[in-house]
Amino acid sequence: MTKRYGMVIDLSTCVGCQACVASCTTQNQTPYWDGKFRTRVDDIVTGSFPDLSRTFVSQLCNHCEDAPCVQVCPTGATYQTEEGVVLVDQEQCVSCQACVAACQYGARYVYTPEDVVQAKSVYGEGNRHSVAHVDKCTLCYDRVTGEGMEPACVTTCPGQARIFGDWNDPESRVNKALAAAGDRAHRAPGSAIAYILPAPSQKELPPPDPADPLWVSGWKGYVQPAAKAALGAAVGVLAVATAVNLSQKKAGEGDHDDE
Amino acid sequence: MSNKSFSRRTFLKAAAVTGASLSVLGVAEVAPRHAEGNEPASEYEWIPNICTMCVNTCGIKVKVKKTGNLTRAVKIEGNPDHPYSKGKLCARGQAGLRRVYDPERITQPLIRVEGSKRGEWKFRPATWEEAYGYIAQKLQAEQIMPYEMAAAGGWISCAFYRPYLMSFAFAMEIPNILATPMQHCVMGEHLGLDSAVGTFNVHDEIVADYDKAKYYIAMGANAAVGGIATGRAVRYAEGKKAGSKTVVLDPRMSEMAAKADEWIPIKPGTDVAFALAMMNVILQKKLYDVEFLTKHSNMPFLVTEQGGMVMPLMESGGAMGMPKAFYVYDELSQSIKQIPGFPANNNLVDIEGNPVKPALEAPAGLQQNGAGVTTLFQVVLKQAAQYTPAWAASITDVPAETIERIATEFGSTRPALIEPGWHDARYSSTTQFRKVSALIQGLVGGIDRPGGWVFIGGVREVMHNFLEMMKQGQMPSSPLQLPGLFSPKAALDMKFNNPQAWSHGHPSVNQAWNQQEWANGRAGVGFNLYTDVGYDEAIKGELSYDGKPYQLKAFFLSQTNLIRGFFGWKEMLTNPNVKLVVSIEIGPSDSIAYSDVILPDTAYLEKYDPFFEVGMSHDLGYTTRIPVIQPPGQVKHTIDMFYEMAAGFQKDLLTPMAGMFGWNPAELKHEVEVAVGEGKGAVYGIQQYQAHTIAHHAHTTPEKVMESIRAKGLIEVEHRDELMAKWSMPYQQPLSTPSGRFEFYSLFLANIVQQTGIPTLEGNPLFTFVPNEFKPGMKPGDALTEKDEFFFTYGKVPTQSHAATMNNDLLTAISEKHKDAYYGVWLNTQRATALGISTGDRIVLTNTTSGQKAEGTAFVTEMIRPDTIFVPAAFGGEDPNMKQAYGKGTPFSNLVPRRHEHSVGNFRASEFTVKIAKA
Repeated sequence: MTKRYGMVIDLSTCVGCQACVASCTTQNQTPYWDGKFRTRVDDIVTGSFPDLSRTFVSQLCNHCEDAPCVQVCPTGATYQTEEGVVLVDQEQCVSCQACVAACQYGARYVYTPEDVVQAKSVYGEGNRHSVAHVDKCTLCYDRVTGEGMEPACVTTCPGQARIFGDWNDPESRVNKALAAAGDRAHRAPGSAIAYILPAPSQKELPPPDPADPLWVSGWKGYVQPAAKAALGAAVGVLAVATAVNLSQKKAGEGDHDDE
Repeated sequence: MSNKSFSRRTFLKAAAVTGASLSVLGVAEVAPRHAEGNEPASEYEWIPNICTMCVNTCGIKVKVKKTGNLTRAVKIEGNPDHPYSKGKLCARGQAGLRRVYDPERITQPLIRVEGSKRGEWKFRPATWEEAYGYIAQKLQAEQIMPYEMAAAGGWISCAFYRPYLMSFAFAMEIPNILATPMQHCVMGEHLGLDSAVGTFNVHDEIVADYDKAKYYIAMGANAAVGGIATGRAVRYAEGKKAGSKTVVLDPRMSEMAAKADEWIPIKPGTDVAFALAMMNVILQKKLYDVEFLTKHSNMPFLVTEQGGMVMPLMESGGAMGMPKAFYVYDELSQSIKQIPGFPANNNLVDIEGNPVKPALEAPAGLQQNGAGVTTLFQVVLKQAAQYTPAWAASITDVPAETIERIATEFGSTRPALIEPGWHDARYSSTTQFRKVSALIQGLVGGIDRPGGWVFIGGVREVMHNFLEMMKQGQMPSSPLQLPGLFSPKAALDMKFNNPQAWSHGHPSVNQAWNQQEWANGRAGVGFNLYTDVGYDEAIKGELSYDGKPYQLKAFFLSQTNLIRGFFGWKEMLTNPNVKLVVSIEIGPSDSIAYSDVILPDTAYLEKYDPFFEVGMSHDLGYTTRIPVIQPPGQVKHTIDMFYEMAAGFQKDLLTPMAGMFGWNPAELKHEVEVAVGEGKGAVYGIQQYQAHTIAHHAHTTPEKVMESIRAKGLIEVEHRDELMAKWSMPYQQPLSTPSGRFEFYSLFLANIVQQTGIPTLEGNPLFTFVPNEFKPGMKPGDALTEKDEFFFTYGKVPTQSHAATMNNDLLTAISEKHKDAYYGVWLNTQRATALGISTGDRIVLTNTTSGQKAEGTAFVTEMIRPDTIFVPAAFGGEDPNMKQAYGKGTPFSNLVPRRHEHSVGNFRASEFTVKIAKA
């Protein structure tokens, strides 16, 4: 059976230590110098002294089943693997940011040409990001499928608050963890990321459910003018991106003989 | 286990498969996708190492990318084979690559430019020969004697290199070792607790069994678990998943408090009152573990009370100067019996070998040698009776019913766990607070049992070896071979406080200062190992010893951030009496700007190292480092610098080193000389030598030892279960207390009080309430009445803790996302509103007693008591060379006066109030 990768985040044991954020950054070589991260830990405080609660809520791309970002992508750079993982083809992406606007989770950002330059000095030559593109969580797809490891945020989590697995496998850790959580379990339909709430009543803590499909299909018509404008602006970005890409390829020509 | 891992080729293969299947599904036409990973042909390898971003020493594995001749560390992960951190790693550990590849790293020796002042950061690059030459020339020109020098170590020294720093000091005849960071971290917060269980450095020697406890109370510290200590957080999360209840006492909603089932926003600095009331309730309701108290504690010991002082009845002349016998009331014979002292570990046999059933309560009117005697238990009952929940309520601002309920829940749940502490708040009361915490843990019998305070493997082994030596009538040759608290005590008595132990006839500055204090009718400091007392007097020329001035003129600082972590050092290091300051460091810190010479150190991924015990592990094993990447520029290993500097002065580093560890000096010397000859440095020779001693210990070969290190990062000797089955303490082996039992009355503290005359308030061998003095005349329970005045608290946040994490651009970027809470001064909303202060406003903090000031940015929040402010302590960089750290947060140490309590010289760094005003 096809896999459906996903994650359970146990809010009762997340200690807000930010290890997931740091691990994701170094694994995926993301532009932290610009304040951009693929995952984050929100610090949610409700109530007033002394009757208050503080919860750390880990957030990442929801890898929606019917992902708006995939639907709006004009070049087809954003796509979904058969395991439901939403990925971006760096070379096909023109950084038009339609997907950034379409995502209600704030899970996407632009890896700018300047970031690509900076990445060389921070992560070294031949790092993961050779061209400008829109960047996002991949559920560490290459690490999972290629190295047989769990996503970087999961492996490192001291609170063991992040649990990775295959939703289509009843024996997978995600299904077991969610089942064991009873009425604290919260998985929105169409979402690959589920949460275990600190208490059953705290349903407002996780990010909102994936948007209504109607909203998604209506999106293109509704925001089309904006998307077009973005595409116009993207021509400039594209030119720079192409230039960077070309120079990168030139510099690294000899590096591709392992194909 | 090092595996060649994922390369671009495999990824493209995976992507192609994905593409094909997507086509089949008709989702989209996807040619071989190129989502990520445009990488040239590279080979990858995972190499184990030890994290050195904070003191937890978690195990790591580093992914190294080799492209042609280029080697680069590209990812750090937790080492799944590491028994403490279990494959997990916090944000600081994950950001280690940015420590190693810090653009501001110091990669060559620097000498301060002639005519500049310390602190100005005017340095010129130099060669090693020049740097060493400068040091030698300065010492000679100023005719600086060895006792006029001090060697200071920071936490890296504490975690890894303390014996090597000591070897350097001993080789050079320097009696002054500072920091490393004994008084601050170890003794300042642990001594009270250590005195009950016999540990020397509890955070290294006990790791609480958070995963198995059913009830956990955290008091006095956020960083001990949540702030974050990864190996502890891992266990805590496991316990929480298993349904353990957590109660957190903290004036603010810390990371730990956020996880609590119950958060009690206690008034700052009053934990000791809460803990005393818990003791009261547990005793009154008889919720204690009778068997543990009777068999393995000194509760049944007979004592006399004279003039308010408790004195156990005992016979002197036992092993190592410890008492030979104690007295109990035997219920079997209904008479008083003598039971043997250390190394006995229980009260069930008398000195003649007959069975004894010691009474917890002696019959009324019991006498010994004409004096009335009772059991210690009876004294404890009487002493604790005054600390009622109602009394504590008036001090702690916690309702009496809550205190009583928590104490009752704790006392009636097994296993229950109280936090042993780490990075505690610092008050006059800290020693007694942690002592009472230990006594509570002892009352419920939670010592070295699952779910309680469990000793690490090495503690048991040192005790075992010591007992074996005793059996054979041998004496340990070095304090390092002594278990627990005996070790630092011996180091003090035999070496640092002993003028005869040095050819120049001077004890440490600490001891000279103590004697000066005593001569002037003042208390001094009771336990003065590596303590920052007397240093300012010695620098200023206000200290004398034996009728002559005792002045400090030269400092060797090894990765210690005195300016940030201690108090008053800017003034001290810029005093013209100080002729030489040498710093060993990796990157910029607030302190090294105050040096004359900076010697660049290797970072953790770049070096060979000696072997260390696998840190903070219940298992017994050894670990070391092999280089993951090449060191940059001209950096050298600290130990190589010690070796070379000592050699430059015709001193031998290796003899004191061998003596300290009980190594064979000739074999060590041989290995080191070979290594130095091959250009690998002295430290490589030490590792080679130790590979042999450890192989012997682990019943294997040196080659197998190194093979295991390369594969798993460690070599295991024995596991927790095996160790607990044969060497549990005090069930099979004694504790390292003078009685060998769990001590409710500490003979160790009694000895210190007797020797040094420190106030029995702070160093009370039993337990007592210590009222903190937040400002002159202020009494416990008094409220603050001024509109702009607050109690001061400080602590850690998860992304920042040490100089190693301070200038890290990744950690800074993450902190920026939480900058209000991480950099800001926490102020309660209601109070801030009254002062017209909003989040983001610049504010000035003024110490109401000393007048010291610091600036910060307000974080207005509901998450703190209205009468308290909180300052995240690890920010506040003042050196512009730290491009990341400079100007962020509040330099809290600028608010703290050089003022200490008397048991260990603990700086009372939280014990004052501040006034807040808009800047």
